[in-house]
Amino acid sequence: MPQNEKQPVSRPQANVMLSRVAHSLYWMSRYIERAENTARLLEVNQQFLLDFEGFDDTALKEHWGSILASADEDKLFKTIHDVADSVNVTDFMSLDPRNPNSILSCIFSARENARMIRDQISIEMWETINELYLFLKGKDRKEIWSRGPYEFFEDIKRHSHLFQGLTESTFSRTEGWEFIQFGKFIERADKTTRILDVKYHILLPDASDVGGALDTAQWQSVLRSASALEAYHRFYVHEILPWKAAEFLIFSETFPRSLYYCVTRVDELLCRILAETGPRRRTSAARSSKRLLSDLQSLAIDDVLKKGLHEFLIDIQKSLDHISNDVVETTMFYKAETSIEEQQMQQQQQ
Amino acid sequence: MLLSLQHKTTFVYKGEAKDSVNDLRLCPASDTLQQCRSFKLTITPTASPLEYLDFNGNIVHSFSIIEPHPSLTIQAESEVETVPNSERKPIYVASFDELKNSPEAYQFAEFLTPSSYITFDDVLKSEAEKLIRNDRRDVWSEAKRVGAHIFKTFKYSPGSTGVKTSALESLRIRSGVCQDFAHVMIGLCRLHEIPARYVSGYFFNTLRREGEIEASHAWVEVYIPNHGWTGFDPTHDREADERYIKVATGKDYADIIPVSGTYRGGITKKLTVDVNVREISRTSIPA
Repeated sequence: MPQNEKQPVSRPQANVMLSRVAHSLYWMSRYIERAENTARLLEVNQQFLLDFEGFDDTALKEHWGSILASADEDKLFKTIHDVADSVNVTDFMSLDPRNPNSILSCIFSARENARMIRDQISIEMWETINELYLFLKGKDRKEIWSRGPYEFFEDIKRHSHLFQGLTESTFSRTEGWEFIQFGKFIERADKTTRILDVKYHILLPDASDVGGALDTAQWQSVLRSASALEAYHRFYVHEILPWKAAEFLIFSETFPRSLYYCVTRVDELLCRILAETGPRRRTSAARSSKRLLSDLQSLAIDDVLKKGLHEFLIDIQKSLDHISNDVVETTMFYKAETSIEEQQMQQQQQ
Repeated sequence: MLLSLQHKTTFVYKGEAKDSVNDLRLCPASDTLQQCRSFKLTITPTASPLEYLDFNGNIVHSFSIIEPHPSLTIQAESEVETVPNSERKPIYVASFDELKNSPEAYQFAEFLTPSSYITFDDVLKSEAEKLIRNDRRDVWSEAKRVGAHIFKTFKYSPGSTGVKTSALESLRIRSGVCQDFAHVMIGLCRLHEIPARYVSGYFFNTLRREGEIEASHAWVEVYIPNHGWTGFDPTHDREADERYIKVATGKDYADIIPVSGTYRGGITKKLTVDVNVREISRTSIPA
């Protein structure tokens, strides 16, 4: 470069991030992950029911009811629909704007968050979210359900994967990256607990059915809801055993949707975000996350089953809630400060 | 004339103040009529001020104190040498046509329009009309006439107005302190098409009686073509001379607030201001 050429001006504040930006990055990421998980859950269960055409209305209601219950959305559903059948539940969880956690609401919220920080993310990331938004906006419900929702769910999943891949390859590894990843893994951990919990709510017709064909098929759909079927089979060639499937989704050290894996990432990211370096954690969020992680490190599947899988999962959901609320409060939203006073002025009066 | 000055401002807060961010306009200016020989700023609790020039060319010291503190003291000490009256150029006699066609006209456009303390209300306008004459003399004489009018018809009365009193409010009660006199004179000058600005500074009172209040002072500068900004003090009805020390200028008080800022915390329980202006006798300066 010629010597007299001016150096481009760098931004000294490039690494400083506003808490508002962190908040939007975090929620953008969480909503995308949430939409994808819901799409997977709905898709798998639709297919599952095709295998059991013999289900009567009661069994169907029970099945969909369990999905609503695991998502904590049965109350809201009841105010809108009377019957929990395939069409009602799928519609409620995917395209109903009245449900703040429907796929549609999640994508709209993710886009709204992305729009607020449009200058902080790459054009590719923005376009992917916006495309998904426009895709959903233009969808006619009847058209989706008449053609079969399979392609619809595939589209949602593909866009989410595309978005995550683009984030990985276009977003700088700054603090913002930590917030995006933190949002993704905390949501993923929460969704994995819920996917597992679906199985608790689906009652087997008879106690002797445990380990039977229906039970196995149900566990298979649980694994597929977490995209874990192939990964599971790499570890266990044997047919699907209920406690092995649960163990895999909870304790696998290598599968990226297992609770253990997600919580490990959450803990790492949290320590970086909160600047936790010492062995003894300073913040309450970091202490909770360490506690949760050491539970997952020290417990075995037998302990979990003894306590009850459902109770165990509910406790984990509570810990995750606590951690995420705490991080949002301390890093993204400052408590309302006392108002700013003006320094009293002196009159010039000589 | 060599003058020393001290200006001490103390804020005592109810409880504590924190996140305090402040701007100081306390450092005397240096120009053709005065030279600031030294300036020392002492802030308690300690803070390291950053110096910069504001839009009007005034020297500003900016500092912040984040930690909670029950009180804040700002002490400014300086020495200023002013050009003796005998060495000052006579004021150029400029006609209003010269003013209008002055090549520097762009410099004073904003000193002809209303500003936050000085709005062109009906009260001010009718006061200006009362003063208008068909046979307008030169710019300086007209400005002096406006100043003298205020001096004659206003009562100097500390306590009758406050720091936020506007020109209009002071005009209504025809009383106030130097800050108000200056605001009203500026307003009337501007309505008479004379560019006028507010000057913040100090005045060395040679006739000061023991116990008489000393504070920062305010007067007016009007723009005279071929001469420049020229000071007039409506509170004393005279030209600003060697006893006047200029600190900052602006459209009105809002531009030159000596100590301004914000903080979080309780209200201000007490504000005390101590100003002390003395002449340094030549003989006391070591050779």
